[in-house]
Amino acid sequence: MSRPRYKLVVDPIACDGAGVCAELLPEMISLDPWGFPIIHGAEVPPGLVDLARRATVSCPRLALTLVRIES
Amino acid sequence: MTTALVTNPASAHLLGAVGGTALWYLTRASGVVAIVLLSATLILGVVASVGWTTERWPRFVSQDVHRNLSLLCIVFVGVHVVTTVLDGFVPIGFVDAVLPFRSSYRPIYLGLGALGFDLLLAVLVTSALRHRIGYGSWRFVHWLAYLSWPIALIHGLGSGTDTPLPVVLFVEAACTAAVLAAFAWRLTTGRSLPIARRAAAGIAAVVVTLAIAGFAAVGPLRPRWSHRSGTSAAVLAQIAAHFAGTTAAPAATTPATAPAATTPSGSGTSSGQLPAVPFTTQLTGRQTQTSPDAQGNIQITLGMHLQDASTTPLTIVLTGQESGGGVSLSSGTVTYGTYSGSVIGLNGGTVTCSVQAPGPVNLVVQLQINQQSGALSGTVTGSSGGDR
Repeated sequence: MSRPRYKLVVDPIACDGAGVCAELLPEMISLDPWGFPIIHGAEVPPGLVDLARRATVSCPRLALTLVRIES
Repeated sequence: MTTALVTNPASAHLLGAVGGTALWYLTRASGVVAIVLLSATLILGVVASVGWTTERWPRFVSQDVHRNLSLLCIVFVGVHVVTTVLDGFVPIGFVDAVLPFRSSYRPIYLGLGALGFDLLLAVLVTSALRHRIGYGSWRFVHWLAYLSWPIALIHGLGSGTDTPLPVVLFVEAACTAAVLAAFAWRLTTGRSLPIARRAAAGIAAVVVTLAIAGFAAVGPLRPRWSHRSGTSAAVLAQIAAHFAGTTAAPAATTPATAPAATTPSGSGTSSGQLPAVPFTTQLTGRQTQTSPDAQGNIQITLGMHLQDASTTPLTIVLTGQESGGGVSLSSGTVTYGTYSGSVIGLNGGTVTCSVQAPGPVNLVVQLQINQQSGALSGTVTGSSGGDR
């Protein structure tokens, strides 16, 4: 079995556009003109999983989650 | 040289507030550092919360510094608690550190410290479990963290040994100003809260600040706070006994010599000789004190006469920084007739001196000072200077 695969999910209701996630993971997250995140890529590259987890932990509203992709 | 407090007559009593053990100093210092760290934590929390950011200071920096400062603060509070308990000078247990308002030593102000500690622990636990308990619960508890700040400040003012020290007052005033400014910033930018609630919080902050300032002015910054702050009589007696015990022991171990020593009144003593050592004798006298000079130095003069040598004055002059109604000793001299020496220790109402009279003699003077008049009474114990 290969290593687990992850994707990033934004809860659009909880998110208030603080923008911390885009500071911490610019490789995968950019901000729209109102400061809300846009996720690039359906899957978190293996090398970015730790950084992605760090971004989810730092979200002030707990609106960003790292979800395991069931294969 | 030992440093301690002798209160002036106006401040009504002798209290050796400074025990002098390393743990006790560590307790006091860690408490002051903790309030500074708590202030910085709160301010960084506000910075993160209002979302202030620049090119060089991203938001996650505010968050991370806020979190790390808070952990450092809790470490210092832990040191503060552990050293207080281990010091054992006042009877405070580990249970008193978490269960408020049950200690026999300054129950209210120590209890506020315990309450503030509990709040910090609650914030710590809920933050660690933030992802499990959800945003709403975490945020509610985090609002309570604001409360820990005034609670910690009142705890420091009300139970702190160093409350009257100018440097401590300055640190506390600076922290208060910075925290108030941060809180005002938070309230004026808090879009999520209704304006009425923000106004109420702002008014409450001002009222609480004024109340704390008023409390400090009439409470811990006035004399006899240790007696007025709710410490039980038993504990006060224990503290007094602690100081008496450090020097009463030599006198107690030589009871057989004491009566004999006090008797030779007619012979050499009236012409300026101390009684033959070892001796213990009563003395009476008067305390006078100068006003602080520009550097805050005061001079306390203890003019005394030994009971059986009434014509020869024993005079002790203590010089040092005024501190909490007493003096933090920097130098002291002693004269007995034509003989002189120096003060080598000051602890509460006990002054230890070394004189050449003409051979080396150690004098331990234990004093009670009349609160209103400055009249002194007490005992002086003399021992050979060679046996120290």
